[in-house]
Amino acid sequence: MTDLIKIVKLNKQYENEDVVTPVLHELSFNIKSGEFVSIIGPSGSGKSTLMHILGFLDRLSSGEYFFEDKDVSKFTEDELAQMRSQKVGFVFQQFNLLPKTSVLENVKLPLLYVDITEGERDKRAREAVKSVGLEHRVNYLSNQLSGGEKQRVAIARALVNNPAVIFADEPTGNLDSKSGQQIMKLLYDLNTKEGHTVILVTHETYTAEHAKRILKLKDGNLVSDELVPEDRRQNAISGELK
Amino acid sequence: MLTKDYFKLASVSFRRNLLRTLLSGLGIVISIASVIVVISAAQGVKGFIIGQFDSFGSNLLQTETRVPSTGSINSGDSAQAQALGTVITTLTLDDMLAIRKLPNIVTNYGYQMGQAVATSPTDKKTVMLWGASATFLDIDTGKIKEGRFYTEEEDASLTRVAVLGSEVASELFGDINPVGQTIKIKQKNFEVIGVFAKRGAALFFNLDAVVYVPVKTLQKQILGTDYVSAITSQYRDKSKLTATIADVQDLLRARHNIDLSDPDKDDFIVTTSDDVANILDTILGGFTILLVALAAISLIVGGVGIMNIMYVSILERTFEIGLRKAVGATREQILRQFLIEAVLVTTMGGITGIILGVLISLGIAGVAKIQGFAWSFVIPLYSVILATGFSIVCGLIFGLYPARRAAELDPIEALRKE
Ligand SMILES: Nc1ncnc2c1ncn2[C@@H]1O[C@H](COP(=O)(O)OP(=O)(O)O)[C@@H](O)[C@H]1O
Ligand SMILES: [Mg+2]
Repeated sequence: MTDLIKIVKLNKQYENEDVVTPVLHELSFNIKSGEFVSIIGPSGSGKSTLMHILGFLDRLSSGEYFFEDKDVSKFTEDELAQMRSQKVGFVFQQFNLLPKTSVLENVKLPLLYVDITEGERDKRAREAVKSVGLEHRVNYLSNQLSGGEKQRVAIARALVNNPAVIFADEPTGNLDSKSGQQIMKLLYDLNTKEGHTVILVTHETYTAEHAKRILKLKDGNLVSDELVPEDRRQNAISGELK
Repeated sequence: MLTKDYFKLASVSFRRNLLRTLLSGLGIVISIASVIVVISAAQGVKGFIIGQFDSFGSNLLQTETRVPSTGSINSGDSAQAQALGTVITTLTLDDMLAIRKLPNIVTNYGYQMGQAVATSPTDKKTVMLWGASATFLDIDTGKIKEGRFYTEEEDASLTRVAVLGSEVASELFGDINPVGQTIKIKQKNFEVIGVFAKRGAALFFNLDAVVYVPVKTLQKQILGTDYVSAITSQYRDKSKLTATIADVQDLLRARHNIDLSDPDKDDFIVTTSDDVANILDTILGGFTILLVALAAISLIVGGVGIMNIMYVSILERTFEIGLRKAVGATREQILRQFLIEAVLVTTMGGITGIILGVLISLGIAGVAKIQGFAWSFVIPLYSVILATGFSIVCGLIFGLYPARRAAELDPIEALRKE
């Protein structure tokens, strides 16, 4: 497998009116297409910042970032928007659905910025809703759904563009454990059954262990990069808490 | 993203914030309506005034007295001298007869006017005393309701007869038929021989409050003069008008012994109804521009209102904008979304304003007609095009700033604003 993502000595610092906040330090790693990787670390360690950079929502301060062998660190705003539109799907802790808007319309949102017919948009959005098992909720408004259902709509929205990678930032953070478990199962299936590349951000070891590989961040430094032992992974998926 | 998609987004946003959308368009509605009303009313006034002149007859060539320029000073001094009471006594009924013999002239009448008090056995009224030749009714469109107008013979023999405007007749005689009755003007008795039908509201003077008497009777029996203040002539062929004007000028210069090489020495001036229309156009055009400029200022106020409301709406919709950007919307797509929203608001406001303006103008025309004014309802096409253009441009200008703010939003920051 070729590298989907390759970062070399990535640094990120925020600069607000003379105050410089260094967040990420000299990060280097590769992620191949088809992987399921967790980024784990305590709150404030820079996980979300890293995910935003990898997902073209933010820019690195120095270092290199190759996506499908293209150097994206020098991309223009519009090129980054195009990458977001075509290459990635996001799932956020806060669900980030449009309020008072139907499930179908929410899932369709990313397709609005792709040049396809309305009929094609509708078809793809319905398929995505079906793939997360919500076809019976397709015309519900987003605020009529439970938390677990909302997050499944968000996953459908992330899938609808058939992206090269799905980013999920604490997707279970606002859910009860049962719904959280279902969401993790869904992400697991998307990776193992559908072959999607999934990058998961979490601060819980147990949740992180649904992935094959865990990158550990501490104060913006990459402190470990390890594979998850298969027995621990199976434990996480079967829902046996320990 | 297709144009259709932008319209769909805008319609969803309008339905979500119906009241706000309506309010934001209100300023545009009002200013566009006022532009339409102002332009239409100016057309109505113009039509009305021209109608007033037409009631004096068509194809008119007016010869009036004028104080000759002394040569050295600007032309304004002629009107000034006349206002100060300088009377020109050189224009006569013989001039009238001479003009009447010119090739393109059908007929004409000379007249002299003044105010006087007319007394009936029961009442009295201040009237406009109009001494005109008997040919007056060959040109003027006034209609006799009772009796008849006076004849050339009565004019030549200085007969004391009078024809009354409808208002004079009813005020002096009430329900009694005035024909055959006597009125007293300047201590002289006049026999009423006719009454005009009502002519309706007038702008410059009230034609229903006029008493017509033979011009020579007025000159010899009351004023003791032998000049007239103006001669109204009717020409036959409009294409020869320039030559006819020149003929009249040459004729009068010869008759009044005026140096042909110096028009400043003329003691008369020749005008046509076209001149009147042109002057009216200039005056009304000036007023229209002024009022439209005022309306344009109100349009700017309306536009700033839209900018304000859009700005608030973008603050409220920060999360939505952030989400759109996160899922792939480019800055240009966000910019277009909000610009199209703004232009749609102003355009719909403009169309509503046009409809409202047309209705108000229709109402004004209706009221004017009921009041007896010969007012025609006109909405010039250019005013509609102007109003629509204004509305679109207004949306573009005032939508641009908020739309750019929306387009520049940072998606991560914006998504925190759920
Ligand atoms: N826009 C910003 N400006 C300044 N500091 C920021 C900004 N965004 C995040 N940070 C800081 O960067 C650090 C990492 O944040 P984040 O990536 O959200 O951590 P995590 O997701 O691991 O909890 C935190 O200390 C946070 O305060
Ligand atoms: Mg975070």
